[in-house]
Amino acid sequence: MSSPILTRLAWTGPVKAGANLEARWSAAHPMDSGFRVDDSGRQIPKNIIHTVRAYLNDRLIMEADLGTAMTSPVYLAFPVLVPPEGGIVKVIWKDDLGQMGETQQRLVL
Amino acid sequence: MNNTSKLPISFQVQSPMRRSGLAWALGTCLAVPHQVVLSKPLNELSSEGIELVFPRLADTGNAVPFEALVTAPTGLHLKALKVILPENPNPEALHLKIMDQPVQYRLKTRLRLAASQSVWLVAYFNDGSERANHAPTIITSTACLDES
Repeated sequence: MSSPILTRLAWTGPVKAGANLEARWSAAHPMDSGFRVDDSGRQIPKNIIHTVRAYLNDRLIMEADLGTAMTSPVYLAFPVLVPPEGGIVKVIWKDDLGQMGETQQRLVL
Repeated sequence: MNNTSKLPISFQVQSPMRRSGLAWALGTCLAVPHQVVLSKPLNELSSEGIELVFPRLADTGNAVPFEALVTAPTGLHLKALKVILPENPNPEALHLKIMDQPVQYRLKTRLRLAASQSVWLVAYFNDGSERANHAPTIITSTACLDES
């Protein structure tokens, strides 16, 4: 139906065992709040990313419930504690239209 | 207690319609704009260990960068964080449930603001206690309620 929603996951800080990285996730989602109207005056239905889950090596580390006050594109930065063996950080999102997406990034020590 | 006897006579003779109108007006005044389960009101919670970075002035409410650094009291860890914008149509902007028991947490995001207001950050700890801090900002145009 719509074009794929581009998401991005990146970090800042040194990727070392025990370090606290800042993981930055963003998604180019329209995040329609349901309060706006289009050019013909019709209300644009609410469609926001309502759930974001972050996994580190398939272990859930963070789950976020998003409201209409999140911007478009959505941006969320959260800390990730680097495990000694490294691993994979995966972020999954879901929106009101039932669309889902997944981004993953490897922690290379 | 009968309060009506103390009111001026003009208030005592009123139609049922008017009375229901008054009840409605009272109801809307008492309705809490956001439902947050807390042990105390937000402004009575300790703000210790919560640092917020939020601009004092923002040109528009479309994307206001928000940063929070939360440090848990000794012996405790963080369970959840909530970002609340009391003047927005949906005040609860973000509810973050944290599973990996951190003592310190730095959250960054961007928020849409309907009006000039204070953003509240509520931190929930593993013993059931809460802490909250707020940061005010002034914006010159609105993001959520405009007709553009």
